[in-house]
Amino acid sequence: MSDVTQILSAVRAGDEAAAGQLFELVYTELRQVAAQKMAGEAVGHTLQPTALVHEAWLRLGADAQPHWQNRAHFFSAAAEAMRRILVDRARRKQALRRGSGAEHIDVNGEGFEIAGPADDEQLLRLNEVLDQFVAIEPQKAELVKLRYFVGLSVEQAALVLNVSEPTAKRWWAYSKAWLYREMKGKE
Amino acid sequence: MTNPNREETLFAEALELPAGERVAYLAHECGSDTALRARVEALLASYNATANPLVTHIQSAEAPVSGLNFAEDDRVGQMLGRYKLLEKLGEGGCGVVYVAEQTEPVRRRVALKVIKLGMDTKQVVARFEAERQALALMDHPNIAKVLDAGTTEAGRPFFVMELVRGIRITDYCDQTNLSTQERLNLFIKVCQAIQHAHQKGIIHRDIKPSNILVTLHDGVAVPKVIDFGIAKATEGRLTDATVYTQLNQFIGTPAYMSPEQAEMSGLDIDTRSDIYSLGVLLYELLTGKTPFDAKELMSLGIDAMRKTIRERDPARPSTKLATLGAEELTTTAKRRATETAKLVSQLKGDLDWIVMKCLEKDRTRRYETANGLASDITRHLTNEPVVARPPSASYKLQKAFRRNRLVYTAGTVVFVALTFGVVLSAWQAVRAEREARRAQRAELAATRRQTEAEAIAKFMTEVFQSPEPGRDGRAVTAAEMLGAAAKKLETDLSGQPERRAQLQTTLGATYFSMGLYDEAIPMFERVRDYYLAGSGPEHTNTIEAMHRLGDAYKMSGRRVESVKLMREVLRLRRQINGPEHPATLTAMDSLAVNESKDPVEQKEAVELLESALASSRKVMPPASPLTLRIMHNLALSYRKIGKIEKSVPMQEEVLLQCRKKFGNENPQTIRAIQTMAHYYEDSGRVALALDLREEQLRLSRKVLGPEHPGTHAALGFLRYTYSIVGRYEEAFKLADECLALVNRIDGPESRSTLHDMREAAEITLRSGRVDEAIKRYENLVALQNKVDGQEHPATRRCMRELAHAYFAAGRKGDAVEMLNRVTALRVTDEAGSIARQWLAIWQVWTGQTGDYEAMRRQWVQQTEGGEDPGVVERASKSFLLRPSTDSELTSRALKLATKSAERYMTDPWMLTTLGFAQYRNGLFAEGERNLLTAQRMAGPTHFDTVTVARMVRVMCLVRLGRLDESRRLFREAEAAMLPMSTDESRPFSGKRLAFPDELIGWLAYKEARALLAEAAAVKP
Repeated sequence: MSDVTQILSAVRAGDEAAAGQLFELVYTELRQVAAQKMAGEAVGHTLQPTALVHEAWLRLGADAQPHWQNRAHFFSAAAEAMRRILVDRARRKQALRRGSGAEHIDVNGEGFEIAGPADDEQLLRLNEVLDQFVAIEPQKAELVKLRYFVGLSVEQAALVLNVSEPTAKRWWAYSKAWLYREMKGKE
Repeated sequence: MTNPNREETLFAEALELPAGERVAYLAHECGSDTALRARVEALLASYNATANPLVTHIQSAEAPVSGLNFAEDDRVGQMLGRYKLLEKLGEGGCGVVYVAEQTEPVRRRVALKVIKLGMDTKQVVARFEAERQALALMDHPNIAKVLDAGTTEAGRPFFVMELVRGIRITDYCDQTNLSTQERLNLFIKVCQAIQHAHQKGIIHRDIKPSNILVTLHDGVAVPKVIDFGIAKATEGRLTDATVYTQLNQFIGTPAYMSPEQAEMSGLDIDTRSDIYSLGVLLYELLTGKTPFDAKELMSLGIDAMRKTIRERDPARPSTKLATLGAEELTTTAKRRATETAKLVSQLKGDLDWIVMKCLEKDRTRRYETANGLASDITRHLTNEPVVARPPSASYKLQKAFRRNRLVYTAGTVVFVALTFGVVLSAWQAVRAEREARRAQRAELAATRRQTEAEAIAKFMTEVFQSPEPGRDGRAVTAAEMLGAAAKKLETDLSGQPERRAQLQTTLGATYFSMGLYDEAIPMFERVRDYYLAGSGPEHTNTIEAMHRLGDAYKMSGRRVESVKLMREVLRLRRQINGPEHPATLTAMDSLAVNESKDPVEQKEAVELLESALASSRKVMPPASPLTLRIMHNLALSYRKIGKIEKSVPMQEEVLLQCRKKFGNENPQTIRAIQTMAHYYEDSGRVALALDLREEQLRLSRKVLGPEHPGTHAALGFLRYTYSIVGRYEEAFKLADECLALVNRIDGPESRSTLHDMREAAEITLRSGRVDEAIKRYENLVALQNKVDGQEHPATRRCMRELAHAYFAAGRKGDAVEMLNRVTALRVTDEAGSIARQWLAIWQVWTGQTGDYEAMRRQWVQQTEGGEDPGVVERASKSFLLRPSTDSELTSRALKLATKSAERYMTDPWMLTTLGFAQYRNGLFAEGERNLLTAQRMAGPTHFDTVTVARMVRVMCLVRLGRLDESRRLFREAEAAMLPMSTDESRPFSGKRLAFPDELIGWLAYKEARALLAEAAAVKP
């Protein structure tokens, strides 16, 4: 548990390498939680991203963090990690469907199934425009990731981003309009 | 490129306007910049588009994620009503605590706790008001008084309490090195405070060291209980929002949480939950540890954590001390002003029992009241006998194999399953909604979800609160409760088919876990039909439902339907999830594990499992539960197809993995040891089996405790293994130990005691104590009669065995009379058929040919409709004892033998009888083959059967003209036979009691010897 605190403190202090470390840690933990939860399930079961993040949160001992900024870093890392996992999974599934190498691709590499927030194609398209959005509106993009991939409320996301609630609400309204407009533009 | 900031501003402002005014506004603002205008209009159109994944998804994810409620930091200095916040005292799971100053009517310092919540505050406030009035009733020196309650301007509720500046009770005790006795005295005061609250109808719900602070008044330590009833006031109904909230609270103090609280139902907590938590506190005061380590619990994850709290029995306090390292133990003792050895002996006995009584999983077994607990501690301190007694284990034994299993589990199984159902439904509601996003407007969906979650909570509550209690004076069983739920579902949720399907799944799974497969099937069928119609065959929900249904078919004996369905499930899983996905592997496992008697299918099952195992080893982490399960099933399947030589190494690997992964002192390892011992016994490696049985018993005693059902089972197995290797003295000792244990725990007239009495009597007989055995059996028969009546199979079995004892004592008349009494009633059950087999052997042995002829003719006819393979086989075998001139009847005996052998292809007994019947019907070559197989399959436990098989095979070989072979086999078989006097009546008397097959072996021996002599005379 202490390494998490250390890493989180380092991230808070602006240590770039620690941010990478944190991401790796959270990413690995999420996959492990998912694989373990899946292994314990008798029948094919679909895991919920929010539940996974919650579990990873507890297992990494992040709830014992003395500084709420630390928690914020955790959730940012979790949002990015969950995004990668979901996008990765959607890509594999699409590859599988298109039959490239068909039978021998394991859907998600580790044998777990996560309920995506949207269907695969939509998820991938959203991911694409989200990349563009990151380039022009990094903070708003962060808000989207927190809301969309971790399931945080506007209020919670505002805390993570250290902005006021009305601001977060405004950002959110704009972000979701912008992203969907761009998605439609690519259809 | 347009300036995005401009776009954003226009968008935000337009959004503020009523929809009708937006167009005009944009036209005005954009002027000639039509591109900008188009872009902003596109934004507005996208903003709430129902097809926008961000719109539909997010609505469903509004439930707060726990751990993120960190908003209340900077209130210090502010006023909350008439309270000025001075300083932040701390932050707990459910709120932030401040020191505040009250200005009117009196000036004083108070503790003010602001509650964090993620639910509708209006309701909370109303509940708060009610709760505050109740709390105001409490007036006790050891309870911090609740003074006031209100809400912040943001609507968050707060409590105002007497300010207690103290330290945690555990810290206080350790810092001042209080002795065990002093700790107990302090603890008694805590009990009295809790008792006071309980009398006012208030449950604390969150007793833990940080809620019991010690302050000094004139040098005297005074414990003060704080935060009374706050947990209750903040608890909501079961909506998806509160699922999270409860999760949150759950995480707060798992180490102190009672099993019923761990269920997170929130519906069913009473004062006995507080007793449990008091027990945990006492545990910690005595040992410095909580029964379950808080960190360890956290690291398990939520599901396993709940399971642990609900199911695992903690070590007794004195045992817990023994697990500490030397240094830690010394420190622990020093803090209690004593030495290590003394501390252990202080806890052993009374205090162990008192604590464990508080920690009972079944709350009806805990102390009724906090005062009861306090009084028992006082009794301990004054050296009077305490009320808490050791056989807390009695109910655990009951749990394992008692008749009222269903009623007992009603509270747990159903509740767990259904509660889980609600949680699951909350999750699934989120998912279902995503699927429906194109059709639903977001706001509508949110409302609907809310209504549905409430509908579920209401539904569950109704089912549990109105179970027509005490109908004809007995407890309502779980099955009845579920039946009511199933019926209610049909009518109440007809408008919500998705929800209904989820609940039907839950109900089905609950029936399934209770072994009520026939009731589970219609539930799963409906769910399958629903998903099939709505989502198509390739949807996860459909496949999942099919899988469950397939398992239920299998368990209820509808094998063909199950196999067909599971094949389909496997096909779909392969297609959709891929060939090596865990779900696919699970489907392979499920399909392979079926009760097929068809050798081709059995072989197929083995291949399926082999391939699943290879994949599982590849894709799963080493020693994953799935891999271990597949290996376990593969070992079992090898054994089924008679490849015990393959099942042994497979199970050896399972055992090795368990030892490595879990260590020896672990329940799962113990189970693997038990299975391994079975296989060793079957494959004739009895010495290895015996070692494992001894290890199993040793570990069970240590890990599970001396009175655990697992330990009782281990005693029974070891007793059995001793008896098959002929170590009757040791078996005898264990049998009596077993009996004493079960007698003490379940009482003298319980079924389990009767069962163990019978086992003990049998060993008594086998160990040669004939007179004592008769005494035991007579006593037992009388008791069985009293408990179950004369017709009960168990009673008749005891009567039959009493007959053996009479035979052994030479009281042949009594024996035959007893056997006749058993068969008079029925010969188509186990007791009747075994008794009749004995009579048949007796008749043949003593030359009562006429009686035997009449009896065997009648018996074959009576048995022809019979289903029980053992009964059918006995009828057939008893017919075969002598050749018959009636060829028609002889062929009917063959039919019976074939029928039973088909059911148990791999059973040497059945195969021997089949071979024997074939011999009598002139099918010598077939008979010889089957007998050879039986001979090869037989382990040391079949030593008597082997003789029969060999001797009949000798006769087959003679008839086939293979004389040399037959002579060799005869000599070999003769040498291996157990010594027996040729005295005709001998086997039915004397010390050692023969098995029926042993006697049949002798009859076959005589017949084979005569046949060989005849053949030698014809062809020297």
